[in-house]
Amino acid sequence: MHACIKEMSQENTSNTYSMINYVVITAATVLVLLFWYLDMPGMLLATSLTGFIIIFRMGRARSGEPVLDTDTSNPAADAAAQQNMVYAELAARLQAESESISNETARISSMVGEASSELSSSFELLHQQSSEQRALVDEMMTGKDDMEEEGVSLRGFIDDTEQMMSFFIETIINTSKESVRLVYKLDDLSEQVISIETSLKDLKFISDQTNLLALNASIEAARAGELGRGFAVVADEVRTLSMSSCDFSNQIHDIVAQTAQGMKDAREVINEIASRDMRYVIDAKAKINKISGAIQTIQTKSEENMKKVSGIAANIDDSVGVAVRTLQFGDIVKQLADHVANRGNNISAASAIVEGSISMDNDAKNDTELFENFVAVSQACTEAIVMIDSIQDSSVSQEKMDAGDIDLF
Amino acid sequence: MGVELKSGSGSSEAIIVISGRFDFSMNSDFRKILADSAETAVKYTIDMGAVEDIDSSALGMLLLLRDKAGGDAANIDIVKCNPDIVEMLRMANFQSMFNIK
Repeated sequence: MHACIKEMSQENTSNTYSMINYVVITAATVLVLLFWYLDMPGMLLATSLTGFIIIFRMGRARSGEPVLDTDTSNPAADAAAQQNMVYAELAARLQAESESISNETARISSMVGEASSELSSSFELLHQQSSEQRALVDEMMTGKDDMEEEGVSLRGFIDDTEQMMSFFIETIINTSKESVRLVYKLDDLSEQVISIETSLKDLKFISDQTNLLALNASIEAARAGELGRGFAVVADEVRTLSMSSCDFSNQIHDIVAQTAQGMKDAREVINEIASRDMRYVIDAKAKINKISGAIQTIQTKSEENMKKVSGIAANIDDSVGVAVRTLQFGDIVKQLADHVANRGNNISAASAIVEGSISMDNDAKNDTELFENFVAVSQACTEAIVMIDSIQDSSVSQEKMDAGDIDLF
Repeated sequence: MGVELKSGSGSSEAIIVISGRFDFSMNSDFRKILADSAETAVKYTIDMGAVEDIDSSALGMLLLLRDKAGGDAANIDIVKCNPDIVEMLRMANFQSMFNIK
């Protein structure tokens, strides 16, 4: 830049022209230094570009030739023209790049937005289902409690069954015991029946003997003739009586025989009643014990599992909460993307200004017009600066994802 | 198959040996043993070593023995049962009424 100034001041003959040159160069230098000092790189870039362009334009115009006239023999003017073309190209490239930046960041913004919203609804659904699941588990657990309150419980059922079995076993054994006692009573009766039989035998003997005696008496009565006739009658009566007695004896004997048979039958029936197979009962009881154990295990296991499920559901809720909070990133990214897009637009606008000013300078015929163009370009640059500054102020303050509590539900 | 009173009648400890199938058919023999020992015996030992099987009438007879020997005050051992019979005695809650060994 200093080499250019030297060159210009060497070839300069017009005072006015020199003054304008000095003004422009000074202004440009001051602005550049100022922006460099203030650490405003965007401004620095814009001002530098503007300064370069103006200086070289002036270098060309001073020699009285149109800026883009390539027929000149003036080497400085040629260099200036070439510089302008390069800058124009650069400006065009910058514009294209910044448009691309804008487009691409817009895409980022929309993609992130879409993904965030889909994830959000997905997590909402997940949370709903997890809550449903939890509610079902709670229902199961309270359902069990309700049943137990009403006295309906599996445990109770099994206990009742076991008690019933014990009752039946006791009944069976008691029945057997009483049956044996009954048989003993029957045995005692049997003995009495036997003594009846013995008595009957005696009775039979007596009536037989009586019969014989009566017979003898009849014979003696017949021998006694007339005198024995009364005695004969008595003897006959005695015989009749003893024969009746015999009949009765026989009848009693028959009854006793029937009784004995009856007792024998009774003994058999009692035998039947008293003889119950206990093995079947053992098997049944063993089965119940086994089932009881299994049910107890199942119940314990199921309670354990329900508690676990409840715990897992709580964990899911927590995880979903974290995920939803993290989705905030979507908003931030969107904002950042929008800002980047804006910066891209600003670069685009600034480049456009630069490009425009280059083409404007082609029209300058004299120093006055050149100066006016310079002023216009400066104003345009200032506008661009203001625009860029306004973005700097409202940049996103949130630097990273931190734990803000978000209550989504 | 039968029931036998090993210790003589009149001694204070009655040892009753049962063999074969302990069921209803033994009831009259059992009654005789009871009668023989009831007066003097203070302690009973029922040897089930040769018993193959029992049914509910056997349990009934044992209970009658216990009643005769003083009910809750009776001192009766039931020994040498095979595992099945032990199980049956347990199910009938006999371990609370007899000493089962």
